[in-house]
Amino acid sequence: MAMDPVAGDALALFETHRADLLRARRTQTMMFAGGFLLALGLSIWVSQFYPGKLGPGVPRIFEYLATITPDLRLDVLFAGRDAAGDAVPGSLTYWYVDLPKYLGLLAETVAMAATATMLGAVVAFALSFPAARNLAPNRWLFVASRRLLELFRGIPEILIALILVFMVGIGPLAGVLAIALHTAGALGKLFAEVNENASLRPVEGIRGVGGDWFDEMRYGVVPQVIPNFISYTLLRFEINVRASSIVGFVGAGGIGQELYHVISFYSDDRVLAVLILIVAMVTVIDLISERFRIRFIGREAFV
Amino acid sequence: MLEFQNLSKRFDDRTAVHPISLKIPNGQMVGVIGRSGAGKSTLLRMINRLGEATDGRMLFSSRDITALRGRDLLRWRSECAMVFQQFNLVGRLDVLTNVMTGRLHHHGFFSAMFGIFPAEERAFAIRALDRLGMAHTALQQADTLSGGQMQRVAIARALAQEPKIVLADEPIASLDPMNAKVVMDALRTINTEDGITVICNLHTLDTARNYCDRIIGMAEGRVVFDGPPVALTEAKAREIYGAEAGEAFSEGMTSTAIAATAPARPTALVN
Repeated sequence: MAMDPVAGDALALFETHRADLLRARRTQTMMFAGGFLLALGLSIWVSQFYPGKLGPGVPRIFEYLATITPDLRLDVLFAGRDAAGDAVPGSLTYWYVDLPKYLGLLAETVAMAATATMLGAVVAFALSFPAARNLAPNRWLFVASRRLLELFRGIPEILIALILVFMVGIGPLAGVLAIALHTAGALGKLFAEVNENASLRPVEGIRGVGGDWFDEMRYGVVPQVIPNFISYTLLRFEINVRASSIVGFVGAGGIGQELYHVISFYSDDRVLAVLILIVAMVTVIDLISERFRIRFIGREAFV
Repeated sequence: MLEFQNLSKRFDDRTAVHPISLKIPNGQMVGVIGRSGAGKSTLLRMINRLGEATDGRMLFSSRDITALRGRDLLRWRSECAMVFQQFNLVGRLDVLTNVMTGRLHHHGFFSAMFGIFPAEERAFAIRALDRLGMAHTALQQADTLSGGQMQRVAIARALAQEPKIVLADEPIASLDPMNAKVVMDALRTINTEDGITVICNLHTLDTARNYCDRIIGMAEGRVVFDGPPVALTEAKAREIYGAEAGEAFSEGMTSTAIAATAPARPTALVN
């Protein structure tokens, strides 16, 4: 097939451009790869993450595991209490003699997580609209709400909890407030990003009928983003169940307080007893919450 | 009466609309035609202040629209309904709620935030939907509708505003010919029956001829034609659409519509 000269020129021009583009891209990839390797090497050096140092530590892990493993005896494993009302050494009853207390603390932990998630989500919801670049009524409010959210999530929960324990005393209140603050910051950022991706057409529609900024958010944005908000909030609840079993270490309530207690005072099989319960609780909550999330997003057919 | 006094719009490096002065009496149906980028949308969006004019003034019943701020501006938008090319409905809300958002301006903060609409507004919205033959979809989620149905819901939302003016920005550009006709008929009906001024941007010359009392032709941000459809000669149409002399130009080329069964005016030409 004969090619007319003009088309030939266009082709040559295209090939030159393409070669330039590919070369530029290759250089960029190489630079990124080099930078990444450099950063990786630097961080290994700084954190002294050498296998040689890790090696001697491994047996000590098992040593500790041995001290917290209970001495269970198969013959009396399921034995109840004896005539005197005492648990038989070697039985599950003996190991989990404090189970009622643990269950109460687990319930407290879940309740802390739920309360903190709800409080945090409400704050996150309110701040996520001014914190969305394309929805903020003005630049000042945008910057202010962004910075506020960063402040909330920038400080680790455990630190906020520590400060709050000094302020409001030992107990779940400090834990709830600490987790709620961190949740507001973390969810607020996610919510704001969801808001930024919402279609602006409905927003313009509401502006066109004479609605104010609140009407635009309520009718133009919220219906689009609410399924995502709910999904993220449930996910955050799962994370907060873990967080609320940790903040107890600084006296902020929940099962963590008991875990800290048994670790520092006994370091015996009670540590494992509590750990197993925490893992079981987190797993159960994760499974239930995941079920809800999938069902909710599925029903809303959110893509 | 809507009056433009040297209204113009400049973007950074380019003038979208050169100073325009004209008057639109109440109850008129005006078609604004021109190529893409001629400034039609910019002009329309300046009227309800979704886009700000750079210079000049706009008066409605001798009230200065260009100077409105805050609450007054929102009230003007509620009086001056807009129908968009892409409908701009809230897809995840049901049709009825979409129509009732047309009443939002009359709500306080709490009734708006909690979505409390009184029974009269619900009845008003249903009647508006019924006029457009859409009452049966009232409880359906809006994004399950077809394009033509969405545009009819959008017109019902505009009616719910009880507007003095309806602006329609390319209302039929994303619709098939049959739906385009239904939507244009609906706009014409609210114009004749309710006496609402309708200003409608159109791509197609024949639609403008069939439905409008008056045609404003724009080219490169200037009004190059303003008059009744009969006065729009082929030479004028060439100027609006920028066809070079000698280049073939027929109105059919800009046509997407099926001939209107009920021409707006006896004087209008039916292609």
